Amino acid sequence: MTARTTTPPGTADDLVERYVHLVARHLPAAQRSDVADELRTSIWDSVDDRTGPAVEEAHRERAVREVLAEMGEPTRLSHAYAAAPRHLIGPRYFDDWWTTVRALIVTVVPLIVLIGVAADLGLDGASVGAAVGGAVWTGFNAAIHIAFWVTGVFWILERTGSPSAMEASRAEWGPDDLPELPRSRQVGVPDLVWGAGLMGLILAWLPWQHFRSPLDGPDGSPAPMLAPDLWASGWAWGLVGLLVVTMAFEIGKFVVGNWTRAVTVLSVLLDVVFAAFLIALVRTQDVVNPAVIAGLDDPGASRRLVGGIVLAVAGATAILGIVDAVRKHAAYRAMTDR
Amino acid sequence: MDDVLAAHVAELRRGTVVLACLCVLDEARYGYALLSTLESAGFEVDANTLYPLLRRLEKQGLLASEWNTEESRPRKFYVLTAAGREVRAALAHEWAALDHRVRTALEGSSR
Repeated sequence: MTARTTTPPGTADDLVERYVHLVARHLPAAQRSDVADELRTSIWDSVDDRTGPAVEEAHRERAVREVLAEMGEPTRLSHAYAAAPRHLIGPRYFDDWWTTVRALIVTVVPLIVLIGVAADLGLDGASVGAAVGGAVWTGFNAAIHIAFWVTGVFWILERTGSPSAMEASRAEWGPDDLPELPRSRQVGVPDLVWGAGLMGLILAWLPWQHFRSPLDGPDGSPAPMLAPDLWASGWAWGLVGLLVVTMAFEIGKFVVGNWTRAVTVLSVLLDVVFAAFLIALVRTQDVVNPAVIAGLDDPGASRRLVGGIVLAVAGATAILGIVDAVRKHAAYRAMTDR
Repeated sequence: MDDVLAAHVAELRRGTVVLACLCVLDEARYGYALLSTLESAGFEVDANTLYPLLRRLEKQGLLASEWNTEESRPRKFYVLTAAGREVRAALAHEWAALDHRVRTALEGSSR
């Protein structure tokens, strides 16, 4: 090993400097120059050992290339020096991070979308398309925010290394902590979103059609789609009440999770009451606002048309709902009897 | 099969690098000299494993280091601390016990 008093500029020196720079670049500032100096010396020691006292430039460069190739990819060596983690979320927190992000997104985002649609329709009088589009965009932004901030919190946890409550509970783990096997659920999140969401949309539609109706009355000013008398006579409030009860039932059904006897009986009962209410409504009341259809040649025809549609939808929904309830209850019985 | 064997041998050796380093650092040595010493003693260690390892051992208090700038090229010398000596004794004891257990188990199975 000969001591090199001068390092003439050339390819060999350049290669070493470039390699050392790459390794040291991302290390903490306090460590950087120390590691770089040591690594540089070590590389040259190794090169000198190969070339001996001969300092012919081409020979030296070949030796440098050999040594650097043996040292391997610079960023890998850099990671070996670095004490700080080289990942955003490591294996210790990955599962907790993923569970948190997923749970927040599936619960918060649908709520935000539903509230957004209802607010746009009911309060701002936006069109259905604009309301849904706007709410979906808001939901997307909410999901991005949730993912970003939760990841940020876990990033800090990963770096501070403070033992979280979740970690502590793991340390004291015993067989008694094993959770029950998950019950198989018949009613999942999609059922909840669909069932409760539909009721929410109809509830949002009621004030919208009253205050922001797209239809014009005979005097040219916007007129509600439903007859305003329905509110005075209480029929519309009855509909609101039924919708709220159905929504509560959908949430309760999700909490129970299965088509038990009570859920099935309540579901059939609600289907029948809802259908009976709608049939009584179109049979005894003028559902369509007379002001809207006053200008038509045959107001009676559109009244009959709306009445027919409501009857058909009410009947079909009730029958399908009852068939579905009975079928799922049978499946539940088969599942629990096993 | 050769690949499998090579991977297991590498795994086995990886665990012995620390003990090997501690064994030859009674006397202060710098990085490349330590690498040569280990190689001539029959320990196969890669430079890119050894140099970061020395810093970790120093951080754990098993080694102490000092820059020597008297020669033309400044070199960082590492030497065993008292704590390092204790750890070395414990590791060597563990190594001997492991060797004994492996031998005993092998004899038992060959019978």
